[in-house]
Amino acid sequence: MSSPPILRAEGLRYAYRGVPAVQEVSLSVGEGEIVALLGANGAGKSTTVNMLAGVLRPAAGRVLWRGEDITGLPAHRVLERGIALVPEGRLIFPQMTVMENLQVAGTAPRAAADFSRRLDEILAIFPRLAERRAQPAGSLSGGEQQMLAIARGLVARPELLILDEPSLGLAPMLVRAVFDLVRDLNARGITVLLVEQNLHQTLRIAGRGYVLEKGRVALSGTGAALLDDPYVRQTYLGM
Amino acid sequence: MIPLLQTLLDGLVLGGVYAFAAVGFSLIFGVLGVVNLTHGVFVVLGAYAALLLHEVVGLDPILGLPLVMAALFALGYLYQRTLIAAAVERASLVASLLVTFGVALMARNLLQIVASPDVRSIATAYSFAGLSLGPLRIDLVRAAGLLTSLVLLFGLALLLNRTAFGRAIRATAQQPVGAALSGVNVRHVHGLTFGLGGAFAGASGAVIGMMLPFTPSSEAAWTLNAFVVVTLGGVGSPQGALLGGLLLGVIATLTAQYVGPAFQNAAMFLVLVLMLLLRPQGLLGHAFAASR
Ligand SMILES: Nc1ncnc2c1ncn2[C@@H]1O[C@H](COP(=O)(O)OP(=O)(O)OP(=O)(O)O)[C@@H](O)[C@H]1O
Ligand SMILES: [Mg+2]
Repeated sequence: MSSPPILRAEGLRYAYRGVPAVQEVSLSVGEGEIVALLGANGAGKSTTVNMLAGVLRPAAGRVLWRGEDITGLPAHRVLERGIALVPEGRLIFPQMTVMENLQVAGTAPRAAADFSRRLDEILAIFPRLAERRAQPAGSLSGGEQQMLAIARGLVARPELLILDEPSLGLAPMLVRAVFDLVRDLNARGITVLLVEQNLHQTLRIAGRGYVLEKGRVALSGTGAALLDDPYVRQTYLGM
Repeated sequence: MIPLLQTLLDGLVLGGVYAFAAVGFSLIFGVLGVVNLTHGVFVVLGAYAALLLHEVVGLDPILGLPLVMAALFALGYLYQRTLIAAAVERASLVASLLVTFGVALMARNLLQIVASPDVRSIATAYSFAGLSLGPLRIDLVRAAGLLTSLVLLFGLALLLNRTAFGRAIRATAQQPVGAALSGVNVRHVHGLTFGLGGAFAGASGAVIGMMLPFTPSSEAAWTLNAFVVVTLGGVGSPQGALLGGLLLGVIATLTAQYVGPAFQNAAMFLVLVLMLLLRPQGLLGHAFAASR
């Protein structure tokens, strides 16, 4: 790793009603990196990032943010530290307008001070959302809803942006647009943890990656090394 | 013609107050999913608080509303953050049904001990004055009660639709995890929403205390009223409560006038059953339903 880690997860575990979903996950993310979190359906990716963002409280293990123990903090307090999760399924507010969706995030203490300036920046990145600002979010297309979810995550100027399968269900052209966007945001200084199943595209922009299997880290390494790994090629790329 | 118009007017006045008395229940159900069977207790507590202020300090119930609302807001907030949150988080939403039912029973009995089971009412200086609208007549107390109800319902609609706090409440209702990830303290918002519901229930109680007699056991009737109003009008919005309340008021008064006072409840249940069969989500639907 080129830079010291800003986020470290050590020995995370989680079980849903006694059924283990994450058994032992440790990972770290360095300042300015794009790190990929990969794995098949049900491997425990979402459970892991939900623990990092404070949506779920780990049954065991620790989450350290810039050296501070933030394990078990609720999501709104994790956001105050500078970690934003764009969740799987988007979880936007369907009956509120696009603008109101962003305003909700703009009320967080971390975002409130310069919300109007931030809003201009965000609407410049997402012109489609600017056009549809008065439309109910539930009436947006799937791609637009994903953009809104990302935009909402950016309102509080996160230092670490965690994206949980942002390309899920999108047409190939939009998938490319999402990956380009992630690369852009990273170039603007935002560290990214990217959960994906789309191995090829992900490892092309990610410096490093972790592969989860049945709730454990099965493999980790640089993007190139993972793409070359015979196990990965066989299991995920069918080669 | 005049008697019919008079009955309709009486029904609308009563309906406005019914709406006011139900909106807190509707908000709590819409946002938290909790069926608050203690709702009527908050209404009756508001009536007793207004009575106390009136008898001890000589404060008019309407002028005393801010005090009553503040007290019941605090009570509602604490109640949610302790008992209700524990029931929902440790067990389920259904558990909150049992908890609020149990608390309602205890609160009613406690009130009977503290305030006696006697029938009370609040007699203000203008209790027997009336207004004339052409050939129609309306008691001053009822007019004041209706006006207060409408103003506060409108205020609540503004709060929900135009303020940051209202946005946080709606966001939490539609998508609690999304709200938390946007920086909303969801537990706090749940508590505040419950407090708001309690404050509105209490305020309606203060108004009701001037218009109708009450006892500790009136709480059951006011919980039932809220149920019916929400079923008629729809969950989660002041508009739905207003529509449901007005309908219920007019139906109740028309039945009492033209069929007989004994049939008021029968008519109410008939409409309730019809509504559940034809449009179970209420006329205006669930304000936050698309996401549930
Ligand atoms: N709310 C839940 N209740 C019960 N079990 C759950 C719940 N969410 C996830 N699980 C289970 O936990 C395991 C890990 O799920 P998780 O959602 O973390 O996987 P994932 O890697 O994100 O998968 P996907 O790629 O399909 O999103 C799975 O076996 C899943 O069935
Ligand atoms: Mg997932």
